[in-house]
Amino acid sequence: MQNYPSRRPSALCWFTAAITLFSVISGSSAESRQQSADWSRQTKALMQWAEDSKLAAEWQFPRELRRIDHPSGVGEAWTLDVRFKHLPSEPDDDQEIRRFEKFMTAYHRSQGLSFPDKVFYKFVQIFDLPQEDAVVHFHIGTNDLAVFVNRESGGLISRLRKSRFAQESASIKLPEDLPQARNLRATVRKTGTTVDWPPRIRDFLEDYFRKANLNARLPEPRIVPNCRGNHVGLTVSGLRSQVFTNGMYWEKIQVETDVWAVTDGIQVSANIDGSYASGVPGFGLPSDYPGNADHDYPKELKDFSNVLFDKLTQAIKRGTP
Amino acid sequence: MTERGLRNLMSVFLIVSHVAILGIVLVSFMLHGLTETEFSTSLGIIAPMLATLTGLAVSYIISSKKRPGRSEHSTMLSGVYVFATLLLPLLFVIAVAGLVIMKATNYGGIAPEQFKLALTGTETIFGAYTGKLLGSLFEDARTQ
Repeated sequence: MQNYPSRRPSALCWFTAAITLFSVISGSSAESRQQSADWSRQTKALMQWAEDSKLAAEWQFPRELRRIDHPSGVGEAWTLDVRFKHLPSEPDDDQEIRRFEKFMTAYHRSQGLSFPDKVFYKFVQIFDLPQEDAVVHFHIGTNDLAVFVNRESGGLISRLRKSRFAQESASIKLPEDLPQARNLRATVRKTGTTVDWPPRIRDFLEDYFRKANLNARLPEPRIVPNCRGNHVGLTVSGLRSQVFTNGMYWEKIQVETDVWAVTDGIQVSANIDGSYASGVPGFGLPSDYPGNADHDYPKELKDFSNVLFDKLTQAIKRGTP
Repeated sequence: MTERGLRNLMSVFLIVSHVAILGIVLVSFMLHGLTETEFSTSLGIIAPMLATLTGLAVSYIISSKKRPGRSEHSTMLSGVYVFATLLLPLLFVIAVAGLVIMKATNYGGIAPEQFKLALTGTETIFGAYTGKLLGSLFEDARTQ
């Protein structure tokens, strides 16, 4: 009877596999660390450019980029959200737009080029992005000016429409009488970072959306996280009755939260975006969520954002997110 | 099958299909299977083609208001003509109704842009043949 060689892997094989696995894992984590570090460095560079160009007085630049659907409707793009600072003396949207138009005219006269174009090219230059993979959204009151490259012609396009993007920010003073909160605040003061908060915020948001679907007897929503450092990003699809309270359509909500330490508590900011798609409930989920304009959607998204952000800040104050 | 028999069958089929498809689109919209934009797009694509085909049938029905006498002769049609005249409009109606139902129920992950293209494609492919066949069937009746 012939003896065949054993088919069990030898110790050398196991050793080689372990080394390969370790190098892959350490390589990928190093890569993600590198990307995270790069974004913060580039964000700082962009903010520095805004300071040097005397733009920071009128414009608020973000701490993070968003990865969202490209305005052309094909694929995704890195998105920079720049907000025209709101003045309390301008309760009317029209007044803010007039101030924006004056700013644009003055910028064009002094620099000899369009402000949105300048920011777009600066954005792709600093972040080293392909032009087709970048979008800058300028938020002026309730308006959204999107600047991006037409992927077919290669020309730069500016598209103005009502903004559906809501931004919330709050400085939360943590109460002294909650032992859990006091501990957390102590951690913030001691380390100068908020390492404990991002996973708690992520858990809170995931739980919020899961419960919403559970209560509505819908299947679990699809949650795609994008978390690094103090940034918590979640893209949640397969929702209903969130922005449209009557549950008309399937909805996709994108929440981007940043948290950082301030003197007597923490500062939380959230960017909330959303879109919707048709579909009779009880059947399949949509593959795409292109809706974003009908039914006063921007206003309804703003209302939803207020409610969600309020619940998040309340939970943080209780120390229970 | 006689020419008159096929005309009667097709005119009833076209009118019923017209109402049924518009009904499916309307019900889908009311159940939020279509957004307002998708609803208006669907109607914009479907209604003109359906109206043209149904218009032929309605014209024929108007022209044959009186019941034909026993002595009136109706020619026999070839099998292949009857087959094509029945099959193509049937496929056209099934395709349009199927697309609307697929979109409303998100079956097959059909995106709004694909839906629009598919509807237009279906109209182009089937509409031309169906229009030609039904034109030959009903136009002859009006000229007689």
